[in-house]
Amino acid sequence: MTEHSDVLVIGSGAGGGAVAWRLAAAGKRVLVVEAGPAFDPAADYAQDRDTWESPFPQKKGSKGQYDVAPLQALTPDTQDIRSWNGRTGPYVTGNQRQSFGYHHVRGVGGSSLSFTGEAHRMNPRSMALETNFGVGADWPVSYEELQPYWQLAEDVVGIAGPETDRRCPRNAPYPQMAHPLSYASQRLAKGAKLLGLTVQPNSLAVLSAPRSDRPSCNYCGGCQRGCQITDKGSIDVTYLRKAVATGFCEIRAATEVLKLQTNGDKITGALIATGTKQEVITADIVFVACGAVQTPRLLFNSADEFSPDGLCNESGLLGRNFMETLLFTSTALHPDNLGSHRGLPVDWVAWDYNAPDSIPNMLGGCRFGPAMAESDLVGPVSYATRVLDGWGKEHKRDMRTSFGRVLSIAALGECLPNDKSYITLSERTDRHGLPVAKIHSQLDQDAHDRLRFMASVCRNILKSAGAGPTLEEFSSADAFSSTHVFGTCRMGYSAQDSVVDPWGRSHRWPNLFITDASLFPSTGGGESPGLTIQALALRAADHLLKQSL
Amino acid sequence: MPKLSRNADDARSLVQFDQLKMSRRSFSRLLIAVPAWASVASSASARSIPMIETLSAVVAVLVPADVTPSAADLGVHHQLATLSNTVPNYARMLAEGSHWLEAVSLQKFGQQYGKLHTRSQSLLVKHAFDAPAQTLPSVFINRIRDDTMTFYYQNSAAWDGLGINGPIQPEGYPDADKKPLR
Repeated sequence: MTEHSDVLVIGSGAGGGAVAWRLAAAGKRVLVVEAGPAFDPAADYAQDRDTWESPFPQKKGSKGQYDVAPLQALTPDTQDIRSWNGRTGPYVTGNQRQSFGYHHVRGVGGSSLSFTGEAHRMNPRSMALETNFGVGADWPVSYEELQPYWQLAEDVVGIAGPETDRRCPRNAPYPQMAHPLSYASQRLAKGAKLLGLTVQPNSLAVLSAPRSDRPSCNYCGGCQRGCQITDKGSIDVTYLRKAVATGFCEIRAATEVLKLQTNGDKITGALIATGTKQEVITADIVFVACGAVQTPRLLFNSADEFSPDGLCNESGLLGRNFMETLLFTSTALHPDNLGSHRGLPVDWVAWDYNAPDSIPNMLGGCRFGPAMAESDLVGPVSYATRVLDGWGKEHKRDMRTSFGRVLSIAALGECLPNDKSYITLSERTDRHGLPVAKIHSQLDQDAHDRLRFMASVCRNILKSAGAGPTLEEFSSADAFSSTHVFGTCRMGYSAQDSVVDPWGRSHRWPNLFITDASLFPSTGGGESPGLTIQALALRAADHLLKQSL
Repeated sequence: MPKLSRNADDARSLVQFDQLKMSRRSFSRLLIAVPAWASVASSASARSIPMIETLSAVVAVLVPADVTPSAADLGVHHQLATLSNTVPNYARMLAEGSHWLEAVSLQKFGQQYGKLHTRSQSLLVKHAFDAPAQTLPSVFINRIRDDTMTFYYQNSAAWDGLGINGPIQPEGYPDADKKPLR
């Protein structure tokens, strides 16, 4: 007998987790299938071991497969914004942009397992790029319409944020108090303020006060390695835990969805694989929440006689408008011991240039914040291999006098869509014989201009904070290295120029929703997308409940 | 410098960026494939010296003992040897690099590397670092330098004097907002 659920949710990250909880809490039978494994914080994360400086652990199936198409040639005008290390030289050799990967976690909780907890609303001006600036596309939902869902997400997760958030209007305070800035971050903040930037505590999915059985943060700085003590509000310990507690939600890990199935009128269910076993499961409603790379891949692979170009591709926009994180980081040693290995990864943000029209003479915003942890320069291995040259007794002495003195600042910037950045299917197939996703990424001149601005401000902040010469920089200009990816199933009003409607529902398939960052018509000026993904998912769930299943 | 010979296969770079475990957040180089190098000749007597003895001696030069143990004291040379199982080209690099070091040691000082005075050992390590890029000595010493540092500083016995008392949990850094005591 074929297994049937009211709702099938594919993917258990920010979008999948949020919608699973909202619908299960309303009494709907929800099955969440997750291609990756479940992680046990106590057992799988190494923060209490000598090997704590290792990256986020890999388990069987915890990385999705993808290819990256050959990237663009590097032009001489990007020389000043490339990636390099003072010890080892350029990170990218040759004259072609190179891939350092699409960074994600495939697992129960998705990429939230390795995120730094940033929880940002979109700048309202970033949601109307076409109307205001004649580029990209507008969001088919206003800031005001989404505001109650951002608030709900903040309350569910327990976001800690500042008393006064200067950037986006709010109707209620953050549920938890903002975290104090680390000593090193205070020094960076002072440098930023001297340049006229406005520094405010970051809004973070990290508890500043205990909640339920989860403690408050003890500022170990290890967020990206997996939060062992679960003060970080990743999706597994927030939405998914609450969803399962309703008694109406089952999570099935290590289960891949190979194809969605249709009968011409609606999605009937999915062909899934657990190990070598394949079966069909059916559902009344399907939510796809696999992210901006894997969601279009699943929909392309689900092509059938009714949708020969892939499900939801009547507009031709499936996979198009791929947007990525624009990143620049700059790092130097400070003369003082700041204990910079301590504290939350991004405990403050300067949003001064976040609005799309805030950087002079260019369109698209950015934001700035500390990056010692994000640059992975918070442990002795990184100092020994990336910061300090040499060997022998002198190197040991240098380690003791230098540890804790690294300062790093990062800028994340807006990415505008272009017709050379998109997702297709690759020629390479997975173990089921299905093509994997292929990422095509191209940065246009506007991105290089923005990166140059970001680099300039980063370098000035470091200088202003009293740091010494730069010792390392990392840049999207020559390195494709993206955590936040967007846009490949754009939401909109019209079936001609969008993949899904304002609720994330397919224009073509009435019982198919998408709820991840592939919906985003724009990236914003450096905002982390997780909170907005959750808000859109909660709104879609409520819309569905109002209409009744 | 021993005479160099070139092999067409060696000329092809083996650095595969899709094997990198690097990101802006995590720069673990341990699993990166070893790049190609231009081969060098070595002697039969050099090849008779067990590689692990050479590695033990050279890692102790790269990270010697002072108030904290040397890399050899912590067994890092054995850890390097285990990478041969997972990293492309690593076993060959260790073997050929060790043999080169022993050949130079015998040639210059008439003794195997592990029996030299530390001053002479350091001279040969410096000699390797000064070798042109993409030659065996350079590839060997630079790679084992980084891997030695990685394994060494992943051991809490190495952390005395850095201002950290242990792994980042369970204590964390509750005083992260204060000036560090060290």
